[in-house]
Amino acid sequence: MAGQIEAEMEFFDYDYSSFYYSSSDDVFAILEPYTQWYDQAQVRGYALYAQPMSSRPATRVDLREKLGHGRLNLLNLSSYNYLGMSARPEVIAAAKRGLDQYGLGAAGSPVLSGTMDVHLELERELASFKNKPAVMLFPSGYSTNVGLLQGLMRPGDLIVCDQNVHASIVDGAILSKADVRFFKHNRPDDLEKKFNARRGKKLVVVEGVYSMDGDVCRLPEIVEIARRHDARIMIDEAHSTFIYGENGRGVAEHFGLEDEIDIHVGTLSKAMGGQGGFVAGSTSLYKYLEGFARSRLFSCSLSPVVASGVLEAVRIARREPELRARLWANVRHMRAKLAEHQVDVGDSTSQIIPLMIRDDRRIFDIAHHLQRSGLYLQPIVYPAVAKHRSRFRISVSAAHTTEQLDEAVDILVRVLRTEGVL
Amino acid sequence: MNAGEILQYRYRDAVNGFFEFPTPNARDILPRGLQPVEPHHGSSILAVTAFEFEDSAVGAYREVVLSVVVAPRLLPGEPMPRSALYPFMVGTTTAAARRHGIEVWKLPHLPADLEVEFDRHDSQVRIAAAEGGRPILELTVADPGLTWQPVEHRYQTWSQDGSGLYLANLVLRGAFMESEEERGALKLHPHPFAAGIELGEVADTPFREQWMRDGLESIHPLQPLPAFAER
Repeated sequence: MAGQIEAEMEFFDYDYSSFYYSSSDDVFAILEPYTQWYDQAQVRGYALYAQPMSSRPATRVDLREKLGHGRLNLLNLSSYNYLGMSARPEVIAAAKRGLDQYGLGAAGSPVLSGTMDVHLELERELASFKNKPAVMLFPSGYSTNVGLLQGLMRPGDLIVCDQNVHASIVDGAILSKADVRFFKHNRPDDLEKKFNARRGKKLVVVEGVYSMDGDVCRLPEIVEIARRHDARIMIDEAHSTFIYGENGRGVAEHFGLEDEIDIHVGTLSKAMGGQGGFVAGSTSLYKYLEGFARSRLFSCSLSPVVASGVLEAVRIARREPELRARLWANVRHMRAKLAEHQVDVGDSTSQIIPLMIRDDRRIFDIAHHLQRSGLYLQPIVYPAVAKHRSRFRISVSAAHTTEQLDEAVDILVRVLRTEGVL
Repeated sequence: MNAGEILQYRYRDAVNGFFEFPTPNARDILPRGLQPVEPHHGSSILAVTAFEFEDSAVGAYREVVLSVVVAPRLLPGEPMPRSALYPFMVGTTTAAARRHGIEVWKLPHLPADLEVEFDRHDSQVRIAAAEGGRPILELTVADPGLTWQPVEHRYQTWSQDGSGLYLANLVLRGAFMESEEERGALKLHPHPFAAGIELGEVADTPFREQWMRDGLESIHPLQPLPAFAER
């Protein structure tokens, strides 16, 4: 009873967005055409996504192919384990101690029985690091933004977001039922237009580093405009906490604007190599979110095992600033090597380096070629990025050795030349 | 012509720009039962389309169309369309094309002959539409240097009259370019053609631009969906 994709119909005429909107008389009518497309998509290259890993997400990883079932050992440029924390022996040891002390899970919501002393210790450590009165933990980065925005904003309020913000910010904004407007990516002039003499509660939401382009928020101009319109400012530093700023506190510290930002968000799954997210701000914000951030209120607390490991990771990051220096040295090295070969890296200035292919049809062939050549890189295509802005996203880590980065560039250049991209 | 036959329109250019505009405005335009597609929460898509038809059942003519992009209808046993449109205002350069569009496709037309000019260059095409010298719109779509692909794309269009909603499948064949480089532009002038649109709220840069050349549009017979419209 469902619609069908004609067998001869071109696979590339469809993408994930094609299957989001549809109408019919049956909820399941979309499943059959989607499955037909999905099965084609796997064969055409989508099988490169979510290949099961049987090792730590370190600089080399063991993967199993989804279709061919072959086992691969690849040089990893895909994981956002920016400081290499997920495999640090001290972090793993701390997590094991946490497992012994607390058991596997928290077995309760943080507002009931799920708060353990390691959670409070981690919140205090993060508050001290961020130089803020209070930090609230959430079980994931996604639930942080969803809970924060839903908990704080209400119908009739205005949320103005950069159009490239993470889905968790979009979902939280939708859940709040506030009016939501998006300004063109990193364009303060467009942000200005979105206020339109609006009165009432207003919140501007930006990210420190944008995950698909690797570019840095134009925070000074955005702060100036937001302040002029009496709007509060929230910055999600998921990809910039522990990386930017003299003390690693993020892009807000980098620009000297920490006190101008009302709400700071970070994750523990990227530079910290663990899981979870946090909100840093005032104690009154903490108290309010404790009562109204439903994604936290109605979830089990972050696993105490992860919290124990992350606590150690935060302490290491604070006492070893050389890790951050090592990351930036690696980023500079990688960028210089790519520039030698005139590889197109878009507007990135961060540790996230998009390798622009700009061909939605060929990128999967190139991805297969890269994997066969020993490199683990994920193709990023529409709708994650604009049409014909497909790219590979390189995540540089402090854990990469110079030799590994050189090997990666050698593979990249060889494959891109063979494929006619360079 | 027979109401049950597939009608074909040979075109030199089919040009389309997708512009964000507020979803409440889109809902005001749409009949009940049709849902606007939102590229961002709160923003729907105004499609501005221009055709230069070189040959059809009503001869050669030019046309500009304003549509809202809506959720396609999955019909049993039928291929899935690439997307669906609800055209809510059409303007043509000839009375014959206008009568044809109203009688056969039940599409709302501006009751006047328009002047529609295509100014073509290698990397862009600019369309200017006016009525008796009064400007209606200017649309520019740019080709950032992409490879043009021969395609056969299937779409749905919706229309309505007092009896309810109608759906037509259409297939566009031709050389195709699609870009999200945001190099195009739109200027909508205050004019009855754009009545119902909050002009100041429509993006002036398309987030997606499409251009087809030297192709054929085939429109299948209208299918009435009265039960769907009654919801």
